[in-house]
This record gives sequence, structure tokens and C-alpha cells, in this order.
Amino acid sequence: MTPDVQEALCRYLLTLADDELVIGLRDAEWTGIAPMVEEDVAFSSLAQDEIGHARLCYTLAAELTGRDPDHLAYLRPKAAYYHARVLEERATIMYDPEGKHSGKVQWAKAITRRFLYDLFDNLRLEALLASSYEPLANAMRKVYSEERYHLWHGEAWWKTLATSSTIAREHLETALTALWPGILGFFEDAPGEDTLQSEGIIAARTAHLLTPWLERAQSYFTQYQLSLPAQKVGENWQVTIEPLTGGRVGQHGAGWDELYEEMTMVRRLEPEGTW
Amino acid sequence: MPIYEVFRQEEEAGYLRHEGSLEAPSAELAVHYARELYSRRSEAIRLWVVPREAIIEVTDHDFLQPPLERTHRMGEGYRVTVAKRRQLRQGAGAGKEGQHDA
Amino acid sequence: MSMSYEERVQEFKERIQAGYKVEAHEWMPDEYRKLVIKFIERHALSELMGALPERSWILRAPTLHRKLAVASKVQDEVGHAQLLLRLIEDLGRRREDVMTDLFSGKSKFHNVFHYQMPTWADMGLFVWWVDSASLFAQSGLRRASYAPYARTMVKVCWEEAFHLKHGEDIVLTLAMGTKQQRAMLQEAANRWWEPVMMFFGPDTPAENDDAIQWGLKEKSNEELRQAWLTRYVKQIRELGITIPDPKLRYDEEKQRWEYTMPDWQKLYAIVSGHGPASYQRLSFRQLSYEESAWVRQAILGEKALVA
Repeated sequence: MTPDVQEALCRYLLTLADDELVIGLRDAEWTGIAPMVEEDVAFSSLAQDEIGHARLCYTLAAELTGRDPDHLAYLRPKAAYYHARVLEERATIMYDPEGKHSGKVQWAKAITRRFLYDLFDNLRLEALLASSYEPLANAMRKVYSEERYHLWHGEAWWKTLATSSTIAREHLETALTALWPGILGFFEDAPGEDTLQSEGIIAARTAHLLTPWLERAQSYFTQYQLSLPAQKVGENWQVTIEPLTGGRVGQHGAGWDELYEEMTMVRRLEPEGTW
Repeated sequence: MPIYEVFRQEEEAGYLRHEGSLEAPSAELAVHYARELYSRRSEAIRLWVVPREAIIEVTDHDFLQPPLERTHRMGEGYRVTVAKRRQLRQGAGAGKEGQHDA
Repeated sequence: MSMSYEERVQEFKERIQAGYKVEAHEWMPDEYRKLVIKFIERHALSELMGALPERSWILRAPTLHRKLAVASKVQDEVGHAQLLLRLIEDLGRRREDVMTDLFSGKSKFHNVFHYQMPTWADMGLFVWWVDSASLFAQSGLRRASYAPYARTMVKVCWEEAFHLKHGEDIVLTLAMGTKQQRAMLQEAANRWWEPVMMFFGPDTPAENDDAIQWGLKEKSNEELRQAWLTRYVKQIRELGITIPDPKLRYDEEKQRWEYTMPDWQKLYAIVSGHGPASYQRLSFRQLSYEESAWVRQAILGEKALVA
């Protein structure tokens, strides 16, 4: 593998891993405080799956760079993480030892983000199943088989939010409106994806997943009279709102400031130590 | 919210055993929750997720444990064969081998 | 021959003491039903509230492996709460009433969940000590007279075994780590020794312990505390941790551990909601619960609410 291909692949793997880690962490925050105990246990498994997938991708990147997967996960500077920005936003209340708990409980936001991300992730995985880089293909086949069940769960809750009560539907629509720019931010390429595509390491660039994503998402929206932020004109889709990009090049918001701090605070006590 | 009972089979050819119950708004989520609550460590090779209302619980003691003896349908009702064989060997009513033929 | 209610109760109690196991559908004295609900409910609330100190450490866990372990451990606690809530619902107690009584302060849960958890070392030590202490108590509960609870305890004990190993692993790693890590561990031990000693409860004689009389518990509080000390004091000291009780010693003659008697009034105040973090944890849980009411209502229709 030439150095520029390796660099592009490493960057791509970190992007994948960061997406999975960040959504995994934010979704893990529902453990103990989800709306219902049965759902609490289920949602926590989804979050743990994502963290497990992140670990797999950090391990693949570590094999290329000779660094430790935990190093990659914890010790990069704040601006060297490449997840989509919308994933870093907290959707739960934050516990404060003084009792001044902050934030709001946003279940519709968590479910919507999770479901639309899983639809995206499925498409991205499909583009990796036949990767010319064998370790990636093998790993992603395992991940793909687990992700199927994420969609089952998401579909069940999507239907519940869209149809079971007026208030639920309002929460869903409000969440969608707030999330759209960030969701469109999934479809931003990491640097070097064109190289990876010409090497056959990825079958499709992330930006090119938008059209298939809209095609696949469409039925979930029309079925429940919900709107996508895009219109089909002939064979082409035209997006009608401004995407919130920058994540893939390390640009993030206040949610990341908070999460990065939480995530690294213990590790930073002894960065090279054994924990 | 509907209650579902969960049965779990842990090994090939094993019995399905009742593990517990859960509440879920739909059958789809009940299946998902059953896996999470009763097989998140991959204990199951098969699950039955059954609405509680489909289960008929039978607890009537007299019905299940009727008082009159029913040894005619159990092996222990036939221990008398041991005593009868002993009698035969000791000669009471015994004939030579083959005596009963034609 | 028909018996009076009192005669039925006495006969039931004798059967229990002879080892009889009760199922949900059977006749049981009102006193027994109330005791079973109260006992299981306190356990369920301890699992539910127990998730809260630890969940803060999921995001902060310093390796990916530890992150998964902490998340999975907290998930198990919630899973245990689910199993136990189902048991009391089957006895006629509604989840929403359980939550109402929790937030109003009417219901109690174990003292150890009323404290702050300021460092990673606190979390590891807490898991090792509290889960091992719980396991001592819960092993006996597998033979509880209320059969659905006994069966549930088999599953719970099996999962708790993983928990205490996970806590022990964190503690061992710190004990073998840097000066800063070892210091963090000792400070955590200084904070948690008293709560863990109090956790077992005062030395109530078996004759006065309803839970023992009705076959829910096997061993007295003091027996459990003594057993835990016998198993763990040596293991703790092996790690270089100084146990912050100068009176702690094993008396060979009396064949028991001597220790500084916990202040039982203080324990009572803590479990009644006056612990260092009681209000903070309850308010956090209450806010989360109330702000997600619309979700439960959507699932159930406007009438009922569920935990």
C-alpha cells in the first residue's frame, strides 16, 4: 500500500470510528434514565454495539499506524476528531453534583438521530463489504450483520412516534426540523476518499451516499406524511436546506467541547498509564 | 401495556424454559426486548415470546394431583412382576420349558 | 374444616419455615404480601438508583474496554430493576406508584446510592465492595420463600459475579499503577469504608427480623457483615490499601471481627433521603422521568404511566 493510500485509509477509518464512538457515547447516556426500563436495556445495547464497532475501526487504524487503539480514541487533539457534528449533541439531562441539572430530555431527538444515522451507516457499510482491503471487508461484514437489528428497533420507534399520539408526532417533527442540517452533514467526504474509491477500498464515496439515502428514507417519510429536506426533480434530488458540515475536517460545536472534556478527563490523568 | 412471557432454549435439542416477562407496546419491540433482557449474553439459540393472555395457567391441585390411585399407568404399579417371577422360578406352577407348546 | 384467618396465617408461616415456596397466584397472608412487595421494591429501587452514580462514568471510562464494561454493568442494574418491577406488578403494585413513592421520599433504597462518586477509583472500588456485599446477601435470596423472587435472584447473582470481577479488575489496575492512581484509590477507600459497613444494616437479631421469619432472608445482617469481612479484609490489605478503621481486628477468642460501630441514626437519616447526594440523585431521576412522560403516554394512550 502506498503512503498516500494508507493515509487516506487511516483517515477514513478514524472518521468511521469517530462517528460510531460519538453516537455510541451520546446514546449510552440514556442508560438508567430512558423513558421505560425495558427500552433502557435495549437502547443501551445499541449504544454498546456502536462503541464496539468504533473499537474495531480504531483497531484497524492502529494496525496501519502502529499506535494503540485507545491512544487513537483518547489522545488526539480536540480538533482531530472527524465525526459528523450532529452526533456530538447531548439529548439527555446532565447530572450535576450540586443538583443544578442542565439540558432537556429529548427522546424524539435521540430516536430520530439514531434511526437516520443507522440508515446512513447501512449504506456506508454496504459500500465496504467487498473492499479490496481484506481486514476492512471482514470487519464490516460482522458489523453489518449486527446493524440490521438497529433498523428493526428504529422502525418500530419511528412508527410509534409518528402515529401514536399528537404530542409524540409534534416531538418527532420538532426533532426533524432541528436535526436536518446536521443529518445532511453525514454526507461529507473525508479527505482522500476519491483515492480509496479508485483503489477499490470503498465502493462509494460518502457524499455519493446522499441520493441512495434519500431513496431509502423516502418510504419511511411518505408512509407517515413526513417531509424530507429535499425534492425529487426528474431523476435528481435537490436538497432544500443548508447542510451543517465541517465535522469531517475536525470542526465541531459546543457539544463536542463538553463531550471531549468528559471523555478524556480520566485518561488525561495518566495518558500513558494502565487503566 | 401488554405483558409478554419469554421462553429460552439454550442448547441444541434442549427444552425451552420460562425465564421471565416484559412489557412492550408492540410485538416487534417485545421481540427486541426479549433478546436484550433474556439473551444479551447470547444465552439463547431460540426464544419464544408469548403474549401473557395466550397462556392458560393451570393451578387447580385436585385437577393436577387427583387423589385416587393411578398406579395402573405407572411403572411402579408393576413391581408385582418381580414377586411373580420369583414364584415361578421356585417351582410353584412351573412347567418344563416349552411345555405349553401345542 | 374451615380455618380462621389467623389459623391460616400461622399454618402458612409454618409451611414457609419448613421450606415451602410460594407462587404468585397462591393465597398468602396480607402481611406476607406487603412484606414481599416492600422487600422486592426496595431492591428494585436500589437497582434503579444504583445505576445513577455509575452511569456518569460511562463517558469518562479511560479505555474502550472499560467503557463497554461500565455501560454493560449499568445496563445489568437496569435489567435487574426491570425483573423486580415485573414481580411486584404481578402482586398488584403499579410501576407508576413505585416511581411516585420514590420521588416523594416515601420509599427507601440502600444507603450506598446516596453518596457522590467523585473519581474513577471511587467507581471501581464501589463496584467491587458493594456488589460483593450484595452478592453475599443475594446468594441466600435464591432460596427465598417467594418463588418468583428466588428464581430471579439466580439470574441476578449470575450477572453480579461478572460485576464484582469488573470492579476488582479496575481496583487491581489502580493498585498496581502510578503514585497518583494509588493515591486516588486510597482516598476512595477512605470515603467508602463506612458506607459499606453500614450497608449490611444494624445487628438485628433473627427473631426480630421479619424478612428472616417469613423466609425471605436466611442470614442476619451481622452474619453477612462478618462473612464479608472474613472474605475481603485480607484481599483489600493485599492491595496496599489502609482500611480507615483503627479498631478493625479479628478477635480469635470470640471468632468475630471487631470494628467501629457505625452510627445507625446516621444510616437511617441517609436512607430517609438526607445523604450527601440523595436530593441530587432523586431530582435527576425525577426530571428524567417527568420529561419523558409523553413517551409513555404515547405508548399507552393518555391513561396509564409506566416506569
